[in-house]
Amino acid sequence: MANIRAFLVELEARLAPSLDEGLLQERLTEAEVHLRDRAQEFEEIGLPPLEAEARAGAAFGAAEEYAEDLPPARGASSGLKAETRAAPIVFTLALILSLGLCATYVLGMQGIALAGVISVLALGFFAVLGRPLYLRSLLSLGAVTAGFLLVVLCLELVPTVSAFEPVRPHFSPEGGRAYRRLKEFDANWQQVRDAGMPPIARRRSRCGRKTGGSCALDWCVVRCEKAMPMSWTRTTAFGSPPSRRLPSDFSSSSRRWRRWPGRWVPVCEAG
Amino acid sequence: MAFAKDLEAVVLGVLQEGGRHGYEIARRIREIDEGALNAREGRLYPLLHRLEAEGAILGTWVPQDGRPPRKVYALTAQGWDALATHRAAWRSYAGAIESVLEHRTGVKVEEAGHEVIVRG
Repeated sequence: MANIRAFLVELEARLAPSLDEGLLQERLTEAEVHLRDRAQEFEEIGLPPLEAEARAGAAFGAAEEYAEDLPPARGASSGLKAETRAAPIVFTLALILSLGLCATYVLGMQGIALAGVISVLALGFFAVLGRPLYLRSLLSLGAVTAGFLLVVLCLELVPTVSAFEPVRPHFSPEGGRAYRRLKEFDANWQQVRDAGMPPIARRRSRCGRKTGGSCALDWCVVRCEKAMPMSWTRTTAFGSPPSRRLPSDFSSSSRRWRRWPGRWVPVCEAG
Repeated sequence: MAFAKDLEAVVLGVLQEGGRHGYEIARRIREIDEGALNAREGRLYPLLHRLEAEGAILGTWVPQDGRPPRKVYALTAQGWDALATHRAAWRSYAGAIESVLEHRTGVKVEEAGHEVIVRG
């Protein structure tokens, strides 16, 4: 059986770069059954086993003949197809794009990040469609995307102290002025919402790392700043900064919380 | 085997007799052509896989006692159509060759200024 084994090893080496594991095993099984049957046929006419195997192999033909219709092996000096060369390029582009998406998300533009994730997935699926050579790239791409989504999930579920920058209220106790500020705040808030940007994204362009806040008659909105370092703890006008995690009874506490797309925004009572 | 398409026609022709696995197909071809086609048996399998991918034949794994399973191939409706197409094409081609080889007019044919004698 040594000849047949050697032939199957050679055939496996020829086929492995072009076929996935399941298909490869099917092809090898099929070839092995054929060679065994053929060798047995030669033995029945009186040939010794080794010679019978050699004759069976000769009748079957060379492994390269079997594999010549398949895409060439990776690293082959000739006939390296464009799709084989393109696989690492596609993966590298996807990796760069995914890292860019992470940065985009951290900068607060969730809508763009989400659209980018969908684009990356679409790119990956189109690139690998029906091409076994791209399977590894698809798996790598899936791992990168899964990692990105995991980071997003962690950022969403575990807000930290550093994520909040409370803002001192600067309202007047006088009713008329406070009322106007309230209306002004509502108008600004709506304007930001209409622009499709969370307030944090708009304010950063003016304030750098500092975030703003808008206050009204008896309350203010504290903005969320995810880029703030962990050590940054500024005392608010209302006492201690918010706890590391969202209070379990936040809905009934004196601090009200508002769910802004992608993040929590605490709404604090003044005074 | 002169042309790859010939082997395809031969395989479809063998399978019209019923489902067979690769070794049986190869053996049946040897029996019928008595070695005239001289086809490498290994060439049979890429062809079977292509025909299966195209839907002309259907492969089914059949378990065997104490031995690796065999994949038995059978013609599909599409395969029967392909066989009919091959048969018609082959008859047309063979008929044309036959006509040329058996042509016995013995007339002179002038072609591009040269005189060519077709011998009868």
